Amino acid sequence: MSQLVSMDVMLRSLDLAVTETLETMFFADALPAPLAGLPSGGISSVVRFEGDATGLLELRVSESSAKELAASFLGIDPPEVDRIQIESVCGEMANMICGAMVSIAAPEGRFALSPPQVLEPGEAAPVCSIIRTYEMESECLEVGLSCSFTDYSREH
Amino acid sequence: MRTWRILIVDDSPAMRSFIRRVIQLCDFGTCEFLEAGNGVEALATIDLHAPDVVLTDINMPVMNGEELLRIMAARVTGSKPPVIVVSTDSTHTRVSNMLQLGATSYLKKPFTPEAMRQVLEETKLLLDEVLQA
Repeated sequence: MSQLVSMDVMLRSLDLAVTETLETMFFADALPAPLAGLPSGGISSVVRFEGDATGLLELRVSESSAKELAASFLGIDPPEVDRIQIESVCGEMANMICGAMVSIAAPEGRFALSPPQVLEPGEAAPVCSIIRTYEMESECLEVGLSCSFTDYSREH
Repeated sequence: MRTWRILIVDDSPAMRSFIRRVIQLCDFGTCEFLEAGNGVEALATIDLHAPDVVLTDINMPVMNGEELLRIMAARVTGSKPPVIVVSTDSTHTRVSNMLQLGATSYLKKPFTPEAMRQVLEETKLLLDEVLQA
């Protein structure tokens, strides 16, 4: 079998991508943590990717964390952040984490990312085969990942 | 002191706002900011306002960053400012492709204010060389 990337590499890359994105763009610490399980609700953003690996990444944060992160990203006070800004920032966060993850996992790879989609309240989230939790200052952030890998040995 | 006219091209208003804030934070100099949500809007803004530098995302609706670079490279008249690509995709293939299309630099997201300042300073040097030539 000949794959450019494996699930182990993808998960290690995901941890790095979450930590780097949160620290650099949101001025927040996020470290891998035991699976905690977020309360239902919150804001979910989905980014699909295809190429040397094909799948999707779902990012889920609570409403309060999303507001704090959006305020930090935009450089404004949390009470000033509106719903549209929160959703836009959550979509961007998922996009950056997904882009960073595939680029770290396979620097020589080829990938195309879909625009981020923020799920409507109550809309069914895609089923993810793996869920990772990251601990922030007061709450957690959850990332779901489903992924399959192109096997180049089958193409010849 | 010179005022730098910087065009930020990204379909996300939140990301445009973030990039603007980072440039202000990184103490690059006096800047005037222009914004566009896609390549078509960017070309119109370039023609109208002749920015010194363009910072563009790749994945955008209507016209993406790759097409924007292709059109700018093919232009024989009009303003052709240096273009810095700012993207989440930092695979070697993508970076190489964008540089071949004419981008002067490539900044991967996530990025630090220091990294942003560095690509802007490099672009400023490039512009100074062109002006002195």
